[in-house]
Amino acid sequence: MKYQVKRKSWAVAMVTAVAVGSSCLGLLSQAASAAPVTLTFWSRPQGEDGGIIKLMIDEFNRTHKDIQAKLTIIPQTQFVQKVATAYRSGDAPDITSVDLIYVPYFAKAGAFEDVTGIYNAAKYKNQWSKAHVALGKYKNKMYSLPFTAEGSVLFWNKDLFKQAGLDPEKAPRTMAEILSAAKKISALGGDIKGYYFSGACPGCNIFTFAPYIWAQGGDVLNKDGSPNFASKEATVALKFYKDLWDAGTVPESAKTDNGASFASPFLTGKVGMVGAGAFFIPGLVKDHPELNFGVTPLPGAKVGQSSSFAGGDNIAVLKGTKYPKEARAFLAWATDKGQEFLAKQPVLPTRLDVAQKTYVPLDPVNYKVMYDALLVGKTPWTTSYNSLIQDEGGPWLKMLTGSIFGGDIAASQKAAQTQALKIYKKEK
Amino acid sequence: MVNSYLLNGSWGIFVRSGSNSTKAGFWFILPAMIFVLAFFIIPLIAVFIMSTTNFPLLGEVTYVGLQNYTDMMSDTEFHQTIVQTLIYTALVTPPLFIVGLGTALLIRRTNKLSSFFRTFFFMPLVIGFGSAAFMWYWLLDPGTGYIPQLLRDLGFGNMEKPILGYMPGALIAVVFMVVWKFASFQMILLMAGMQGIDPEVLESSEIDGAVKWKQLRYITLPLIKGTLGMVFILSIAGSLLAFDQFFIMTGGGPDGQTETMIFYVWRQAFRSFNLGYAAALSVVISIALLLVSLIQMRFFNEKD
Repeated sequence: MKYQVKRKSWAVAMVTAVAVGSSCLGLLSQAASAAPVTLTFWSRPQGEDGGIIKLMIDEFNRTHKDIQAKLTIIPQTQFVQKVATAYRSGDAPDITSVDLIYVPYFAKAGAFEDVTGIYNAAKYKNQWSKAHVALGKYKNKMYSLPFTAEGSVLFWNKDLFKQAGLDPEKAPRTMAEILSAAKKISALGGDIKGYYFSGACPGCNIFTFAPYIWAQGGDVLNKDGSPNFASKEATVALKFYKDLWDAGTVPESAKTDNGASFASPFLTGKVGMVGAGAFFIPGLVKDHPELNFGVTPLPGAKVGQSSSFAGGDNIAVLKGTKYPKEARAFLAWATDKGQEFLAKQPVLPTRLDVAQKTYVPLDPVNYKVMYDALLVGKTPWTTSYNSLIQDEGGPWLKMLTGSIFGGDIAASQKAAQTQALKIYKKEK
Repeated sequence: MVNSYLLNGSWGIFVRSGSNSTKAGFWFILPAMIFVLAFFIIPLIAVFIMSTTNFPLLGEVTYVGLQNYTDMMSDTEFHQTIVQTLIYTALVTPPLFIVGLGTALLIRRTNKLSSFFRTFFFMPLVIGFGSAAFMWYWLLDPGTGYIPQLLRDLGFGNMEKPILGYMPGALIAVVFMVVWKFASFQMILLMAGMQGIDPEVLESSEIDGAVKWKQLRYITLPLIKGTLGMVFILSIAGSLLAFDQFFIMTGGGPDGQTETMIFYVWRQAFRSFNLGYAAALSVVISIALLLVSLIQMRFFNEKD
């Protein structure tokens, strides 16, 4: 009898334990399902002080309960290597914001998810920057979406223009007018110079020099990514820079500037003109109220010609993400409400409608120029950007330095084209 | 000579196997062996395997056999960097040694001033190499740098042209920076070697009438031959591996004339993302360095 009671109580205890246990498990699984999904997001520093992307992620996390994003900022110079090695080792983030110029390289390697569906479904599809869309496309599919924009333009110092006897409100409209103005400004003497560029920085010059070629209707790379370094338009633009250099209108320090100075000599008030981007404007306005400057498109050889390098980032989902649905939701937000948020910071958005409605009114004069630059902006499509353009010993920089500082434009163009073709064929 | 050292030295424990002390010795060096295996030997094998593939940063890896090594034969750009690296090594090694030896002789005896000068000479060494190169890059800037300003004040013209933008100024500036930064390292090594010399030997030579120069030539230097060998091996190997100073200060310019072998390897790996070829270049450079070091070791040991 005693034994039976004992068995009964054991059975009751077992049933109770199972019941309690399963209800606990149920609660746990409920709790687990209620926990938000955390997406990892990698970006290079963006915006005026590099931290604007963090503000955007904070905004996303504030407005979303079921999905949270965890941001990691990677230095620009290491970005491609870090993302690529992480992808190769299976530790890639769920989402990444990638310098536009590297998007074809990642797409070709198959590192990005196909996001053609999001692109086609977007109601603002026709409002995106054409350059960003073109770079996001690989074999007729979209592997990334436009995220942040940049554009190269010409800044001029109105006070120096006035001192040199030029109309301070009249921006140079051709390369010849820039050269003429630079000579007059340099004639002021002392350490005042007419123009500045970073002579040892390949990336800086694709941003601020290539538009002089594009504005004339020329190209640096053809549509298939093959090099076009020996064009007539490139010769004209190189001669323009060589003339600026030979006339002594550029500080000698430009020759060794690897980008460490970039446009900052303009901030001293001793440089008449410099090529820079939208990122340069907020700092100029806030920290240098003494500088009376203007912004104008980078011109070509004739009045009415202009172009710009469309920079910035595209946003992509890495292949192998555990949360494809949530990552796509993030992309949809980043290209919609996220654009509004960026425009207010102010970062030039990739959506033309948002740029016009939110970004331009913040500085109707200067930001309107940036908006116009975005409309005509170009970005070379290539899967070999690093070897063709970014390499310190590569053909692009060799062509520039050989022509401008070396003085032999024809020979430099020919040598650069030969080297670039060799690289293109090898990497194709 | 090297082999006999290895057999008679710490590796000799394997020869006298079986005893308890041998077993204990083996266990003592086991952690170091694991460390060497994990961080030196395995990566070296991995680099060699990589060098037989195309190994892009992203995408499919394909076995290419010895193609990367045969490509190297016709790579004139790489050949040019070899010549430039050798010129740099030849230029930087003598001043490094002379300044290192000179300062070591100045401060080897302990007195009131020697502590101050030891710290003074040693200070550049504690600055990171990258930071020091950046510091010199700005010091040499024709617009804002103190050095062009100083030269202007001394009547060397307007100094508008950047020193780093022209040859041989760019190379000389880098050599100067490296000597400023690393001579103290040689100073410490040589000073330690000199302090190991029995003072009685030097005193005897003084009694015998040896002047300072003769004392240095016939007593001090021969007695620190081992240290001299180490100093030269470190100096030459370090110069053949030069990268940071050129990457930051000259960017390989003007017109690629200061691009070194390692700079070229870096460009292949991280500009062209051609990791397989970069690995092959690294293997060849490593073997060349090993040979140079072995020749130097043999030279100094024979002199002994």
